[in-house]
Amino acid sequence: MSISINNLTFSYSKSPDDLVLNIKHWQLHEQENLFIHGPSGCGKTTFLNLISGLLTTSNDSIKVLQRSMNEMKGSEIDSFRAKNIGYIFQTFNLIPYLSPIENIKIACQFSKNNVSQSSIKQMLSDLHLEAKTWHKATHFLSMGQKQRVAIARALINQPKLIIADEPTSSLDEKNRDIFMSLLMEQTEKLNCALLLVSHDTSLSQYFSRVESFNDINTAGSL
Amino acid sequence: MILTLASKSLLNRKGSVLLTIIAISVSLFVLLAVDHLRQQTKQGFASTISGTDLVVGSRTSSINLLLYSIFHIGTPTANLSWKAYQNFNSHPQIAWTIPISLGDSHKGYRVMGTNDDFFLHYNFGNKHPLSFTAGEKFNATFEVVLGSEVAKQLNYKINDPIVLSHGLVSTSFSNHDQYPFKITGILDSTGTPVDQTLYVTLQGIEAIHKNWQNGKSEDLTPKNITAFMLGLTSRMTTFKVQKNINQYAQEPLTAILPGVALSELWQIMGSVEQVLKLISYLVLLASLLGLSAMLVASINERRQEIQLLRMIGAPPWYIFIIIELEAILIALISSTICLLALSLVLTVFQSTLIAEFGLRLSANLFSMNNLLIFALVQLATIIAAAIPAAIAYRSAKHTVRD
Repeated sequence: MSISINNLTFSYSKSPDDLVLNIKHWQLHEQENLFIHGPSGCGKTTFLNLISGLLTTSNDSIKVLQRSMNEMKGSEIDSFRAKNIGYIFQTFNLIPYLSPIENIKIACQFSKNNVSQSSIKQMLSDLHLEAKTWHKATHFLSMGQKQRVAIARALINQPKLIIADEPTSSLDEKNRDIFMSLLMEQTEKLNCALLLVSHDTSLSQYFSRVESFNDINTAGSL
Repeated sequence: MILTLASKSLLNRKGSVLLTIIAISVSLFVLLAVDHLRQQTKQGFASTISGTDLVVGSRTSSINLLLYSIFHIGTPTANLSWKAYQNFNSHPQIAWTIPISLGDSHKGYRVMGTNDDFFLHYNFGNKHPLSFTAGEKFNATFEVVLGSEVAKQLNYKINDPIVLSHGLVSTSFSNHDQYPFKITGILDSTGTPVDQTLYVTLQGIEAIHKNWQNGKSEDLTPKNITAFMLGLTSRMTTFKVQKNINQYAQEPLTAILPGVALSELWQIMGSVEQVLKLISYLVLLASLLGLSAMLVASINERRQEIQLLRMIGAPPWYIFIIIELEAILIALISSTICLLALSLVLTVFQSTLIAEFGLRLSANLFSMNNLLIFALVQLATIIAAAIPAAIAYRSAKHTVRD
């Protein structure tokens, strides 16, 4: 099981009426591709922050890769995240003043994963990034190129779980399609689970399992 | 990798980083320049006189006597009689004496009347005797020996004739025009006031003041002199001879130990030194707070960057280290700039400093003391950067992607 959630409730304030999340039971299987769609502001990002361990709950409601998130100490969560979870966001996936190769190397540093320069380059060319972009600061790259570097950054440590939060929302249609097919291709190659969250329902076509976030989260609904 | 991250992040913020580097460089420059000046001045004063056991003048304060007789700063209050000088010159425990007669000048440089003993017994630095670059000591009444700076600045050569002026200003109206002096020798550079002085015989001084006509034989023995230096046969007798001179019945005299008078001088200068030091440290503190403020401001700009680093697994202390590293890099660059600038300034302005102030400053800044200052600056930087680093740490610890 990649992720399993049981009786999760979460609120930013102390009042029990302000529940942001209320999830009875939810699972993501190993190597499963799941697309969750939902409008913005419905708690999707909070949900992902909890799975990544940036937010914590007091009870034992979230298990990621069989590890209970509230059992781990802060530093354990950091290295767990570095090793096992690859992230792709809508924007700001990369340190803008570093090159694609340097950005990927930083990710390897935190996972203590010794990845050779050549395998980084291999990965970048697999993602259709031309060699001339490899050593340029990433703020010179186009949005489409940046998002593809983000895939490489997320996958370089061969994580068991990829989490993508609105990864295509800054891309035009053409770049979105290129991005999605590359992402699907690479996750399949790695045999890892993919959890993609977006408001764009047209992405459903790429996934075997599709859910609406409002079906998962019962907070706010009566 | 963390170093690449820190340095590239600084490069990415060139504008504010550059201004901060300039601010710290300038404040470090002030700190180091003040300290260097202080040390070198002390060293310069201390090396001016060596091997002289006592300096004797008419009754005055010891610092005053030392300053006007040896360093040619200020003016003598009164003279002592030739008779008194002769009396001590033949004192059994006194090995040698150097008479000093001041009051005339040449184009702003002081003229000192003395005798052959000056070239024989005057030592500077580490008991270093005087030596000649060209020519030799004076042998006749109207002959003059130049200090190295005088010769260099005024471009004089051996055998050139020069005219002395009464008083100390370069535009004196009272020139001793009828009595030109012939240059017989130029001394090697010493890094002391000797370099800025012209040396003539006591007779020469006497002659120009007496309106002495050439060829007329007249007694040129001086009536009085300004001061004299002396060396003892045995140092054990220093205090006895000093007491002898101070209690000389015929005339009120003062004998001082140059080393003691110098340390008295440093005691007075001490508080000025402390104030200067304090000011330069405050300037440095201000610039380090500026660095801190710059980094605090940058953290707000870099919130996304911190979030991203956290998401890919950076622990909060990693963010702390990055900020500290950036501060350290800035301090190191500033230190280097300051060192280079100060060395450059010292090299370029050396001749001006010597000519204007008689200050010889070494351009070598690599002293133990300066190393200590740099270590201290690094430490202060780390402490100053702890504030922004702690803010970044907190922001990293409570980061939530939104």
